[in-house]
Amino acid sequence: MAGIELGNVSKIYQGGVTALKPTTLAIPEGALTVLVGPSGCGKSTLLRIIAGLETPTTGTVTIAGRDVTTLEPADRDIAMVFQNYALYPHMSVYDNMAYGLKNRGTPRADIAALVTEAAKMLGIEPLLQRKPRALSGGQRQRVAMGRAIVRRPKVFLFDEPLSNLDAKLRGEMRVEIRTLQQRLGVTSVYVTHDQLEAMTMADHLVVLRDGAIVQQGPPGQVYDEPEDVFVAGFLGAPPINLLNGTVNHDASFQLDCGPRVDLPGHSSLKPGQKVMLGIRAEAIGLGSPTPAPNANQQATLELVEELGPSRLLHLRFGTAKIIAMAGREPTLRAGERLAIHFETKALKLFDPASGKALR
Amino acid sequence: MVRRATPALRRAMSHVLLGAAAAVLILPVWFALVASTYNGADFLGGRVGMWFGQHGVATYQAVITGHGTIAMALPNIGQALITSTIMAVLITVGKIAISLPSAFAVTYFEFPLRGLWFALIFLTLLLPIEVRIVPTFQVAANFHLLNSFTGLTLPLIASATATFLFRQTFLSIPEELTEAARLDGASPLQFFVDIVIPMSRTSIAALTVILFIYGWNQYLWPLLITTKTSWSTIVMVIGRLSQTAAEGDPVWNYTMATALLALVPPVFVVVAMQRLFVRGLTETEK
Repeated sequence: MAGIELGNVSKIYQGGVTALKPTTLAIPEGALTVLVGPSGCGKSTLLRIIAGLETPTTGTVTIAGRDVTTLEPADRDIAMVFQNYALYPHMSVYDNMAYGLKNRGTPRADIAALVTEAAKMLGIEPLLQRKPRALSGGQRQRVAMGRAIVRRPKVFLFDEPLSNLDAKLRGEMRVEIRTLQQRLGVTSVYVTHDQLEAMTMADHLVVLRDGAIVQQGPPGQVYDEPEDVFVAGFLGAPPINLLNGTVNHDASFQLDCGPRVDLPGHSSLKPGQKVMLGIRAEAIGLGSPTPAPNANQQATLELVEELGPSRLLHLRFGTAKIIAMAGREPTLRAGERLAIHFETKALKLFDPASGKALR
Repeated sequence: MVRRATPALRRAMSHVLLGAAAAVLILPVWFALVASTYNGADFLGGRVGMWFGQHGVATYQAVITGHGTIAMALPNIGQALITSTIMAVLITVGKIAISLPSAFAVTYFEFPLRGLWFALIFLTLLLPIEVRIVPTFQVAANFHLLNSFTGLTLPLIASATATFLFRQTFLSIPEELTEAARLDGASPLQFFVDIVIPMSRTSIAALTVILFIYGWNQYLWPLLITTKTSWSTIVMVIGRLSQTAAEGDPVWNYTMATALLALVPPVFVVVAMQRLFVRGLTETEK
């Protein structure tokens, strides 16, 4: 059974702006589903429709088998963590966490027990009497999560919860949210525009664009088999290298930027066909292992970005610029001429007109 | 070449400037205080200087005990102060109590013709008590509200200004908080009481000060709606005293003393609220 089911849900605002085209989506139970996409892709609208903060123009929302389309947010058995935490500034941490329980008529003793337990789980017990303004960003984030888990809802909704934190804290909170979610096993929907967050956290990844779902699946699969140029370009840092070219008569591929590459295994390509080639940075290797197709390409090193465990090599490949990821190999100097090779299996082909993947 | 003032010089200059401004503000009050310590004839004769005269104690005794004013058929000054205070408090509390929910309604609720209702509330700005004084008096008289606190305060209570200011405050409360409260299962009334009002305490404090002084300074309406001297407000007493003084009996010392005493409650309110107000400003995080 799906945790959340969206049946043909759409949202058109007054004035005719379509935020979400009719969308059907099954969100797996007990897993963390990430909705990712650039701003304005409809991911937040989708989340807010699940929360009941937005009324869908069409369609139905089902949570754990119950149709909640017309229910108030409070009656949907969900909890939400907001981007700006949305803590009540005049209430102590304890009162912030207890407010939802209080409104539901939970007995005082039970509230105290539940809040204490949640606070312990998040390590914010010593902060319970403080006001939100006396907390750091990370602590506020924890309180916001505490407010969500204290009610033991069926669903957690996260609306870009980490975007106000610095990079280091974001990394820590990512792990913490993930751990907590796995421990509680609660169906969760997480909205972000950050592809790294999406890739690292998702059990199930849903990529949206222009108010519609473009692709969904396990993050590794979406990364390896993008269905179009947009998904390929959106996931992964550095972004995938995209090179335009034309198929030759001998099934090799003439790139517009100069060099030729081989495309074994793509029998469906017709000579003269325009194709867009996608090569991920980590699919470009240094040197020329023999014997392999695409083993003996030449490129000029223009810039090295040191990342620590690896390096980004900015290469001039013909007239195009590409980025390769390399280990900490021997000293490389800008201006150097390098032999590179492409892992043929990792080459992705797209139709330049439609952007769709060619298989 | 531009020469920069040294920090010490700059500080001295700002103190001189601030001191001058403070003097300009304080001077009239000082004059009133000094004038209240001379007798009325000295005042008229221009014998009042910058320093206290001999009659201070006598003047205040006369004013406070009513010894000097009863002869002129004026109400007891203590009673007038109490009347004024009750009137100003009722007006303040009434205005805030009415404008908070009305601002809440126009800010958070979708209802038919919301814009029109808001415009209608706003339109009452064009109809202050002075404009509608005759019909309002007629209505108040028909309801037998003469010489009562209801009559003194009720026609002044509806407030478009406060409604508008509260609306602005409510609009500055982040929408996410409203949504968080909805998810927390707060009813509109719970949201209003638990979130909106505590978060608006700065505005409430500021408006309390402004509205109290507005109520305190009312003159024309109390003059009309009260027919017995026992219902006189302190502002009316000052008015009567200065009238008497202008008509020949030079009771300027009494007038000044009364005016100074009339300053005490508003100043007290300002000072009391100032703390809350500044604390609210520095504490509230939105």
